[in-house]
Amino acid sequence: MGQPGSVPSADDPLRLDADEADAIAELFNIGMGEAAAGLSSMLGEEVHLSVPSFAVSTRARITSEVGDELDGEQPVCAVRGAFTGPFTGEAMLIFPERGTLALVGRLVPVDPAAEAPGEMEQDALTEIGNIILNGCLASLSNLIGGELSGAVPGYGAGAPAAVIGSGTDPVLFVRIDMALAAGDASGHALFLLDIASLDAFREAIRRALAGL
Amino acid sequence: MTSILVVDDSRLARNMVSSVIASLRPDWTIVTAASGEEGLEIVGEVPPVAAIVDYNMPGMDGLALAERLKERFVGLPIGLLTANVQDTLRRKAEALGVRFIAKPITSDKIRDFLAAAGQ
Repeated sequence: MGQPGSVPSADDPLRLDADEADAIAELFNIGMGEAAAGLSSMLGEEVHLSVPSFAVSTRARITSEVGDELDGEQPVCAVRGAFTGPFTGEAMLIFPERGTLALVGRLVPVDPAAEAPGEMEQDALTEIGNIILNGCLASLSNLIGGELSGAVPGYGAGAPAAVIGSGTDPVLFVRIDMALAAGDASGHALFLLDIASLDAFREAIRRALAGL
Repeated sequence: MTSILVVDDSRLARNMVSSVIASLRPDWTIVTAASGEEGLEIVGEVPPVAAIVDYNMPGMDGLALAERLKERFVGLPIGLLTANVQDTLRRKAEALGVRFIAKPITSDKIRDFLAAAGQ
């Protein structure tokens, strides 16, 4: 369940104990699982998911952590959207350019000589992002018994720092890696939750636990 | 002693499955583990009546664990816990004779699984 060291201790002002961190990861595990099953049936291919990791982090740190794995300064393609409800934040799906072309190539014909996604490929990735991110948020809404509404996710591309940001304010960070079984498309689903909504989030988790 | 093995990396999920089983079968011993590796070690050689294992875990996944458990205990009923019911996974699970238990866990789903397992 993530890196044990990344969970804030009880005397941290953010005060998420191990049980709460465990619950958050499990809720996202369920939400992403349902969303990935939807994507898998659309692609006709197995979609692998990692176990969710959960941490209190900053956009700058996430950029460096995720950017390193995505080949540093290489541009990445992202689908991202804000969500609001019992808690607020931003959801994003990030793939490197090559992985994006491989992924959307399952849905639309892709020019083999293409280096970067064109308009049609961007649209296809946006649709995939929509399925994954809104699918996950919908499952989470059901689990916490409150509506999380996501904006229609939009496409963006650039260096990881431009996409994820470089702010140093604390954010709650849930990360799930996903990959197609063929191994040619690996990316990340990231959920950045505003710390300001931490209390609302904790309350929502309690309700979810009580309802399960 | 009648025992059932529950393996999930999430403590929340382990507690939920355990509390449902405890209410349905109060006399059973519930053996829990947080990983496939731990599950294989802790279960030993005495066959449980059934096993309920999570699919998405660090290290050994639930399907690999199910395969190892089936080698050790022929005919052991196993339920695979996941919200991620993909066709490929479904086929692999069926080939192993493993049933799905869709997350989120409810009392009805565990009851159905135990009934199907002849328990």
